[in-house]
Amino acid sequence: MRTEPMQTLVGGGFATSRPDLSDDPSRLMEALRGHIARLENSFPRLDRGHTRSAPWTFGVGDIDGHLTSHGLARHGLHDISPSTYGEVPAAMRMSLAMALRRLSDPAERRPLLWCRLSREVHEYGNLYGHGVEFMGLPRHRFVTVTLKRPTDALWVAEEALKSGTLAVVITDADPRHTSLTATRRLSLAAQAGRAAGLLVFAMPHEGATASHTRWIAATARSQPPPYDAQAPGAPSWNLELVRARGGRPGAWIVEWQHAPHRFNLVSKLRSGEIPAWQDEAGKIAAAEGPSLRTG
Amino acid sequence: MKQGKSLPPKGLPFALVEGGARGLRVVAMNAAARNFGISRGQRLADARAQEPDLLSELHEPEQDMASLLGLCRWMERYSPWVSPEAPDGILLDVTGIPHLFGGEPNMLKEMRERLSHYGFSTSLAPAATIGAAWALARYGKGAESLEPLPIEALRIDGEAARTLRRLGLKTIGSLMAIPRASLARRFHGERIHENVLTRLDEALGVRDEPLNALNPPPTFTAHRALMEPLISTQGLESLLVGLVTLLCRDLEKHSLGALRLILKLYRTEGSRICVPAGLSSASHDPAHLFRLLKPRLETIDAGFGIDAMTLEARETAPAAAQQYGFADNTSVVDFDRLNDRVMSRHDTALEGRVPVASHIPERAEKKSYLRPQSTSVQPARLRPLLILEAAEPANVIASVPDGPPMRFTWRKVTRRVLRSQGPERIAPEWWQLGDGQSPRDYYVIEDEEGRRYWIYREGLYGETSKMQPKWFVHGLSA
Repeated sequence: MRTEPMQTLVGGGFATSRPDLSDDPSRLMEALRGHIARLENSFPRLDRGHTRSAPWTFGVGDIDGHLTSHGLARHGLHDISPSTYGEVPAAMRMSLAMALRRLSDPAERRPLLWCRLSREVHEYGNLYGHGVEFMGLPRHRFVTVTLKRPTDALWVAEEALKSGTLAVVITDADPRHTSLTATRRLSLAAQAGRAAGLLVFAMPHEGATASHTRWIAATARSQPPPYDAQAPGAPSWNLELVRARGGRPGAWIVEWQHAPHRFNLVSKLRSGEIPAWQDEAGKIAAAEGPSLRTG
Repeated sequence: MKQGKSLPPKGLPFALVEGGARGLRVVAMNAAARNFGISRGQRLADARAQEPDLLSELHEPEQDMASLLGLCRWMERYSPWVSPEAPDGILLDVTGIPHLFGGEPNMLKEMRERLSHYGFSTSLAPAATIGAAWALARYGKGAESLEPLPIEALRIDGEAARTLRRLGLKTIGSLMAIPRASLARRFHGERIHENVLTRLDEALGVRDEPLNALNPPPTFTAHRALMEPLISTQGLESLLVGLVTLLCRDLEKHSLGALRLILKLYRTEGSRICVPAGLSSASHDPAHLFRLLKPRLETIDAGFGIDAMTLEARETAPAAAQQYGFADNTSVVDFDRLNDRVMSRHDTALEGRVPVASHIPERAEKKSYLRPQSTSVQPARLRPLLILEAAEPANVIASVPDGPPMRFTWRKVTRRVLRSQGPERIAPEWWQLGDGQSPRDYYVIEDEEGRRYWIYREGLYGETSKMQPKWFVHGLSA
């Protein structure tokens, strides 16, 4: 539909040749975005009826509003980095939750692959099938592979993305090996295989990558469920969008509802605004009585 | 022949010696030594007396066997059916093969040339039976028939040969002239009966003798020999493309696919490289087989060049001609292919997780390399996303007797517990021997930062006679 004006655009002097576009800045922006999207998706491939599949959204209007085309790039690469070293399990859980948003699309029947690094397995443990099922992913829809070297994990990730047989490939990534070139390869492989790639960094990382979005995840205190004030509630994160191609950064507190495969927005984070339930710790500390003993 | 040691200079007398009860004895010598009258079984001291300049080395039969096996593997370039004949022979079944080399004389000529090039003195003989070939190669000296050969050529032991010689039967021909029935009667009940008659029958082809191949020959194989040796990876790759195409065409004709492949590369200096590859599902797609083997080709050491290449399908399974590109079943094929590539490159494979009927968390599932299948959905319980390889001890402060943890120290960091859920009691399985006999109480806890742990107490407080209960961290992101 928009091919014709864009050809003129590439030819040069778009502002003068298309006065109707320059009149309306929002239309101009939309046209330019469309052009960039076409350039990025100019990969020759057969589209086998996958147009029906739903967009990859968070299901939280406020977060999706910060992303281009109201959702994550379905055939793209996304980074998830822990905020501190100890938050790696939180970043892993976040990546799985994001993947689940993609996998719960009924038109998407391919499985998920998680490329683990053996050093991460020693540190944080194996993926536990029962736990993954509890999160909402049936065990026949995920496979893992464990590799010793970070470059081997990236090799497998690229092959897996390219193969077109997986919907999402999550990779334990070492920041020392995810150069711009390396991640660009993964990004192209994701497009070729119509798959989504998620890189979970093993440590906080700020270097440049070719990913569509970059997230920083950290755990947040959960809100207790209504039936038991002492019990931990739904898993929650301080989630920060630090970089998004064509989008705006933002920060939120979200929680994961495993039954409906949905994120809930707990709070929008703006400077100085701290949710009220975050200073409950004092009460617990006071409750520690004399009947304690070590074990 | 010794490996790793320099060969003795040509033309100098040289002998291999073996330690015995009466000192060192000569077990083998070269032509120069033989010219000085040195013979097998002679004492080294006597041989030195005959030829003071005689060089000697200790005989190492294991080294000889290893090098014989190496040569056998190299000989597989001529026939897939090769068997070592200790201590110094090699048997080849060349049925249906000579025409590939331009006839039997040409094949023998090529073998002799190549082997002499590597420094072997050879004696080759083609024959219809193993016994006849053995006799002609060792005692034939160019003879065409068995008759004039000495009786020892029948592969009989020394005692039997001495008996026959005493009877005046010095050649195979004279033995064959006696009616078999009277021979059998003469030797009836003696040990040489079996020995002589069996060997004679085998040599004449009256009795079958199996040839045990060193490596079982494959049914599907593709072979290419080159005029000039190749070193470059590019050249080898284009050769591999040809082999893969040949093999796949053959397999497809029989509606079979390869499950296990072996690529054999023959180096010019007479050694062989073996490159194995495995497949998850039978395939006869040339592009896929090529992609599996190609990365391995890049890592091999071609030495001074490769002059022949064989691709064998060691295991096959039915694989109907597949039409690719249709909807959902392509993903199964592609998944297997991805798995094959991972396997051939990294010695690991994609693994799913299969539930096991056990309540003990670390035993409740196992890894499986099979393609994950959809299973009946079990009611999911609260379980951690990550389970530590082994539960790690933690120092915990908890209220007695069975309260939740309040504060715990794990990996040298103390954390305060904000919320907790539990206990979930998991009793030991009494039928499993060697387990701890204490029940475990699992808690899901959340610390001040919101991090989740799956933690358990083994044993109970208040059982005075027993040990104190212990706490462990078992999982993260519960």
